[in-house]
Amino acid sequence: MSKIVADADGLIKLGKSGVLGCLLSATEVLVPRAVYREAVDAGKKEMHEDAFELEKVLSEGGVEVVEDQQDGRAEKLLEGVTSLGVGERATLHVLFAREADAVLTDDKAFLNLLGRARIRTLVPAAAIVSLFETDRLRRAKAIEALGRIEGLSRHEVYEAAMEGLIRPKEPKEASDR
Amino acid sequence: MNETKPTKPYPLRIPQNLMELADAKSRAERTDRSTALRQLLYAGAEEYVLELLSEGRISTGRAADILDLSVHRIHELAHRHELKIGGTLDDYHRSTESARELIG
Repeated sequence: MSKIVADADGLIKLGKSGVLGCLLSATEVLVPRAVYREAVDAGKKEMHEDAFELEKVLSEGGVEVVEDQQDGRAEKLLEGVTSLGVGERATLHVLFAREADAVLTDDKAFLNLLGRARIRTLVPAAAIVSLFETDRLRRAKAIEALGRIEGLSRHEVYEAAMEGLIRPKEPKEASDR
Repeated sequence: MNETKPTKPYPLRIPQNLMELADAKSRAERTDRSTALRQLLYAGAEEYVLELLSEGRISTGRAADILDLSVHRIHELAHRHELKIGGTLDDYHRSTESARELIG
């Protein structure tokens, strides 16, 4: 099972889409403590409904909240970087310290850094399409999930993901029609 | 964003017209001139930070930290201002390849 570290941006968007629970059953998701504070604690303090829902999904999904970690490889990558916040930095440290496979994020600045470092990433729209392609999500549910985060995604990304969802699947998908 | 950010004094000459605007705002909102000025400063900062965010020059977490807001609130503001945030099409395509290995 793949091990994925989430930042607040990716966690909140996938939570909002309503399919985070589905990803949790397909992969092992690690949430750094700093990210949990940003996505759940701070959101609850401002009474964002999504934050309460996120707390519930993370708890039910048995997600591990990882305490602060320090890793020299992350430290080196973050040298001189002022564009990232506490949560994204913690995500990178946990990624290396726990030998995770990828980062769940949809943050452009963070994606830029991860791309330069050749670290694998999972953006929410791609996660939704992949969950659909692997029969973990029905087409209607996947389209609904993508629609829920449309306003937080770039239009071209939304369109590309939608294309992936409406394209006919291989024959084994017959029961989904 | 859990604690009030520390402040520090800074000498600044403020144009008369902005001072008049701050006075008008303070009268309308029954607050003092300094608070009105800080609110105007924050409004400008918010716009600039959102611009940096949409250009990918800072992250959502960094934007939240600078403005002393939650990431949820930053998402709301970006949506309200119809700003395009999030990964690009290239990011999406790269991620799609990874997703097949990670989830498949």
